[in-house]
Amino acid sequence: MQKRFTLITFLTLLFVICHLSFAYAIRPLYTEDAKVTPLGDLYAESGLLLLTNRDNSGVKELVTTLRYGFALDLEGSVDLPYLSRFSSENNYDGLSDGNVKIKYNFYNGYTDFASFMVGFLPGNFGTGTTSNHSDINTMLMYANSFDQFSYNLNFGYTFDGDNSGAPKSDYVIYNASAVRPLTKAMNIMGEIQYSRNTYTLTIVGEAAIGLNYRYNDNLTFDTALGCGLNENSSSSNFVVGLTYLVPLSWGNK
Amino acid sequence: MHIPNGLLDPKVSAGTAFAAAGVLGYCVAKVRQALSAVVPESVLAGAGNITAGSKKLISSFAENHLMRMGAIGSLIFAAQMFNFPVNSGTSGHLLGGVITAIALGPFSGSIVIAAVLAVQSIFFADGGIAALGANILNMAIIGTLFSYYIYYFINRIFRNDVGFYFGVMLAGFSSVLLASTACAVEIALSGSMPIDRILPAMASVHSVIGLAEALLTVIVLEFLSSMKFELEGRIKIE
Repeated sequence: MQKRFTLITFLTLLFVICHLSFAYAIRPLYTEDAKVTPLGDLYAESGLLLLTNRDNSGVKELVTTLRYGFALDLEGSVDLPYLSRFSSENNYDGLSDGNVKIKYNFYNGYTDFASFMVGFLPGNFGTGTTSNHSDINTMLMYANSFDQFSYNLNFGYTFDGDNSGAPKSDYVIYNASAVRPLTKAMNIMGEIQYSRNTYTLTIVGEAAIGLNYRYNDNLTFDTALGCGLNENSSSSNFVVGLTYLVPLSWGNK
Repeated sequence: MHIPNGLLDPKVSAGTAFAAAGVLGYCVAKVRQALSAVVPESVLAGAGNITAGSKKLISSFAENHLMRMGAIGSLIFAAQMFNFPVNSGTSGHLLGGVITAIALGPFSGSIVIAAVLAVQSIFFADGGIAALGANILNMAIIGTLFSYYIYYFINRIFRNDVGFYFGVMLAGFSSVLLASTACAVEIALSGSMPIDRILPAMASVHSVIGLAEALLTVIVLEFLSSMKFELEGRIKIE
């Protein structure tokens, strides 16, 4: 199972790398976009994730992300997640691990982009909805397009900030996504996510397919359905959300 | 407010299902009528690739309207997933009926809420399948279609922005209270609980939820307006 999953991921990555050329990954996908928010613009993304595990426990997570273009090639963003964790034994509601990220677009080709991102995930809220330690996340992103398809590739590493003396569980992350326009206003997209715990060597893989609908320049709706690719992954997940341009930048347009 | 399986008498289940199906059928007919563009046969003949029998085409307005229905439906579905505490052991969530009715029009709004309820019932066990007719009647018809006309008439009387906000808030509040009252009556008619016990219990909790609904309805509609989302159900006052 693990070998087959690794092979599928490898082939997807290979396929994506072979078709080089303007792309961006967009909500509702997890794959990070290599493009940065335009200078002076403030975008907000709000989304709900409904994830069910194989033991029928799960989470409902409402995340609002604020993205701001600080410079031509530099974006800062903050994730504000509110999480509701449910299982047969306990239910928790509360703030979850946030994420403060800086993304730098260091390569702007004719059609392709490459960026680097550093994120700080503060999680010391001492509730049942946080990890109770702060992690550091780094990620390299590449985007390109081929014909009507756009692709995004991520390679990330999360440094475990748990100083309780437990063995360090870092994560290696690979994401790949493809986006294709269906109509002038609608895109269809798919992705594969893969993460590997460097201590337990556990692999978590998820695949998702989604749609987004651009209503106008200010508002985009999205939805996605996903499933786990192995026994360590979720049983299913469902995402609904929207991206909107915050009025702050309207005066600049 | 989602009635689970087993709480309603089969007669009440069947009766509410028929009533819901009848009104929803009317809503579907009204929306089809509004979205169908009738094209003269002479124009179709000129187009060449359309069969002679085709007289109705889907217009770009209709296509956009259907996409808007999907988009608002998915947002309402998501919003209904999050509960807020009312008092110990009780929680409430957004109904969203007046939001969808003003954003999409009352008939499309009812269809969207009915679709959300059907998905919740079939795939997420939120509300019983046997009680789906009752839940659609309470939330999609009374909580959406009927409540829209509370907004409509208030807006007609006041004919200004104050009337709009007052109408929206009163319709939002009433949508929850009326839907919960209908729910209480259906449960009482089924013999599951006496009306003098369930009605005060439902009304007291849902009047608090109704206040939150009224406030959230105004916030969401203001947000959609600020994003230049066309509110098709908004009454234009000259």
